[in-house]
Amino acid sequence: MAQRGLVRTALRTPTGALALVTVVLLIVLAIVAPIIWGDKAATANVDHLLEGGSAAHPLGTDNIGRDLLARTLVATRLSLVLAVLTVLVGAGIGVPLGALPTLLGRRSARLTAAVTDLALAYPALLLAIFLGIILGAGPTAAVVALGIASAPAFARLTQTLAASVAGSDYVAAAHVLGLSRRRVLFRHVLPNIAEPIILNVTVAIGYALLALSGLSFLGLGVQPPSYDWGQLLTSSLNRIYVVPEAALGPCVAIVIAGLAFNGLGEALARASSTRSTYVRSPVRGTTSAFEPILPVADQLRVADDPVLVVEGLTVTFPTADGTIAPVRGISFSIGNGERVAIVGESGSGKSLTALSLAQLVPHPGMVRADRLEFLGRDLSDGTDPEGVVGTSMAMVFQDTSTSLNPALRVGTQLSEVAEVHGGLRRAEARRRAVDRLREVRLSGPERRLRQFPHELSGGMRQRVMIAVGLMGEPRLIVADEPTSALDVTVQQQILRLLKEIGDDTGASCLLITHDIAVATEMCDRILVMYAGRIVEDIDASRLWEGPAHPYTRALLAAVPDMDTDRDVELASIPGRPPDPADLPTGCAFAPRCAFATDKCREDRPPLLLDKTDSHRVACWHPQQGSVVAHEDDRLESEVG
Amino acid sequence: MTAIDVERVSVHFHARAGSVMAVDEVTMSVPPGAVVGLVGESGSGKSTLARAIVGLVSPTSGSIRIDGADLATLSAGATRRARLPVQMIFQDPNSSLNPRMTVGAALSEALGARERVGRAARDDEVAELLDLVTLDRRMATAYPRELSGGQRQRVAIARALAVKPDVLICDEVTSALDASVTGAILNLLRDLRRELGLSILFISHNLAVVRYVSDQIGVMYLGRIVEFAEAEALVRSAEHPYTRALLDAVPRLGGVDVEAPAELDRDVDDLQPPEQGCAFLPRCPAGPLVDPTREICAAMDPQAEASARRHEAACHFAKAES
Repeated sequence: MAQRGLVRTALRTPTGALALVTVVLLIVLAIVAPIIWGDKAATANVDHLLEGGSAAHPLGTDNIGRDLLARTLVATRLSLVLAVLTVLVGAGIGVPLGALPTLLGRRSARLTAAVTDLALAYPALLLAIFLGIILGAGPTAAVVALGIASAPAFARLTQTLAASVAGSDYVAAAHVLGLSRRRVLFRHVLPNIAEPIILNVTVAIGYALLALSGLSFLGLGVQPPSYDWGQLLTSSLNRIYVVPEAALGPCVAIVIAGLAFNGLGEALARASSTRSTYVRSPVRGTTSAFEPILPVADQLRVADDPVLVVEGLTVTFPTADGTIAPVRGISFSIGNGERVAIVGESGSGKSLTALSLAQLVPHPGMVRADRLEFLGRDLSDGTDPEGVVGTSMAMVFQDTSTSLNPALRVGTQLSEVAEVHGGLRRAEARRRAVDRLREVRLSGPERRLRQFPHELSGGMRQRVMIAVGLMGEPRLIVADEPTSALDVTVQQQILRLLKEIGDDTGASCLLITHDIAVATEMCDRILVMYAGRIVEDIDASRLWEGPAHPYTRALLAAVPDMDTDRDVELASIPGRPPDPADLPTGCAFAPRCAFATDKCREDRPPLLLDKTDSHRVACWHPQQGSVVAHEDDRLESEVG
Repeated sequence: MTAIDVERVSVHFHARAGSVMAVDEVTMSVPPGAVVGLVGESGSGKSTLARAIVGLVSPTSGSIRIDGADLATLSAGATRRARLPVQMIFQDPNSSLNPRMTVGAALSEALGARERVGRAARDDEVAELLDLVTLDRRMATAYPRELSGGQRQRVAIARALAVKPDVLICDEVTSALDASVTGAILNLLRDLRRELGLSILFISHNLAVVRYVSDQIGVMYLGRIVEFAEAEALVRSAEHPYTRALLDAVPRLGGVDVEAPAELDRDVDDLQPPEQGCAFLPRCPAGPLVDPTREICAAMDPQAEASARRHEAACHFAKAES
């Protein structure tokens, strides 16, 4: 089933389609050519010896007058059969050899691997010639020789693939279940490495064809009266200056067949590596993704002295099955010095919101906004003429191992910012870099400048990343899951650091996180996102009194904190978040919500301000009251 | 009822720069029917200890006894049988299920690991397992890629339950899950424990989650258990300064801003543990860094007399600072 999908994906590319058609034609030719042209290819004709191309014999005739075109076509069968046999011998020896380490104990596995490595180091074609001489010239010898010569490459490939699968948790789980090594190999390892091995076999047929023709050409392969393309080439080659078309036939055949198998293998490989990125969803119309976004009735209270104002921000991505919108017309603002958190689960659109502010949405994503103002500058058309994003917005990412350039010293990455954006001279930039590293409380800042990112721990790299952001004079720090990859004690330090920097410089902060507890600890206001929309906008201090949206309430009650009563069941939300390509018409949370009515399923609730004028909620049935049942316990624990 | 006893178990890994001691002479046990939690940061050795118990890594020294039987003294076949009652659930449900096997195939394979059963009986048992983890029976025909993260984790739990284990080792089972699913998985583990009388070794970096599920909690630091106590006692009155640092670091709803001691708030994460004395010394907010008279911390390893202290705390000045 999976294999068929792979072929279909490979066929989508013109090269893949062409290669597959050629391979199929070659196979058909191999079957029918000897039947149709077999007699003609074998018939000697003394009247037409060694002729050039003519209407009757387009490629000419050989030394006993046999038609060369017919012979080239008939030779397809032997050439292909030998090539396939060669690869079967190679894979037949190599794949079990490569799989052996999975079956054996640690020590024997190491030995087999060493043998494979040794064999791999020996040049394959030389081995083939050597074996060909020992076994005597002939097709069997050529096939066996080339097969054995290609076995180490298959063994190595299998070994590498098997090792990567053997490290996965499902293989570990199989071991814990006490399953035999043989079962693990056949049920868990081989099925998961079959695909790349099949791809390589396809490519290898192309190579085997070339190598076999090469051996026949050297006189070590097929011997007359049998003939394959290599043998035909040999016998025609001495006439190449007189009758070039005679040699051309087998040449073209070898090239076409070689290209076809290689091309098919490559196309299959490409398909298997890209297939996983295709969005799996049924076909849908292109417009449906936009329809529910258009009527935006959401209310927005612009903060006093706003740093950022966002209205109707939408991010769309084209997919094979139409456009999807992971962020669907959201509106919010951040005041000067205010700390705002966006909380949501994976797929809620929170990270894309952050990226779209910094104009970093990856291709082919599209960002649209009715209003997108940063420090009073309009950025809604996606341009930034004054470079205000570069100088005044700082980004801190989750993965510290990829957000710094591993090849550049810490010092270079820091001073670069000041040199490019601040126009500082190198010495000045360096001074500032030391200053900023001290600000993020990294010990020995002068020493750190000369270090590379890999010499620092995750927490230290995150500090450097924040220091990079501070090299300009940021008015807004956007931190996308800055502590998710860090240990709890380090997480605490980084959060405190971000908070202090905000207090010292007056910069605002937008924190993106999945952890509502982190958000409340760090921020003044919390935006809860679900399925690309803000469903609640609430002061962090009011979370205690109880949020109004059922989703926010469920989020709070689903994860235990240090005071959760151990005898009480945790809340759980049934179902799963909706597919962004298939959102319900009404409230996106309705299918999972205990309070949902028909109205919820039909009309999408707009995000509206309540009486207090600072709390926004998008719900037809807003709830009241605290969700934390054990207030008393909590107080006790703080005293204790 | 099966109990796990781990005695002075060490696990060393050979790296290019010498050998790394991932687990260092750990002694602990999981009594029948109890939930024991293990917390610690990355590199504390908690996952390695779990993998040593289920046999995925071999301990360098020490003994692991399952139901009183020392695994090192058993034959290979006997070890396999002795280990079967101890099953493990992994962190990432995306990689703990074979992508080429349907849910039903994965579960029947696990059923077959215990005893040979006929096809019809097996289908019934698969359905029962799916019921147990509250998944729809029709899911038996689904492939892992068609399931959500929470559903996959339920399948992984069902697979472990297929061999009717007495002990479940849960290694960061909620860390890769979204908040809305975490609660459901924790509830499930709690119900299973009650219904099936399972003992659980619950490993997580998240102290709040560990506290919620565990009866007893062990705190690991650099390959050792530095404090071990009843869950509530550990949370309310921690003895070891590292445990207190972990407790302070737990994010709390409502923005209670606990100012951590400044000594911990440095880029300590690249510090190497000292050759002798207490491994926590370079980070300790109660040691010689704040009180120079506490020379004993640099001179003597507090682990030696840990078992005699309250909470088995590996600290010369356990609870000396609050």
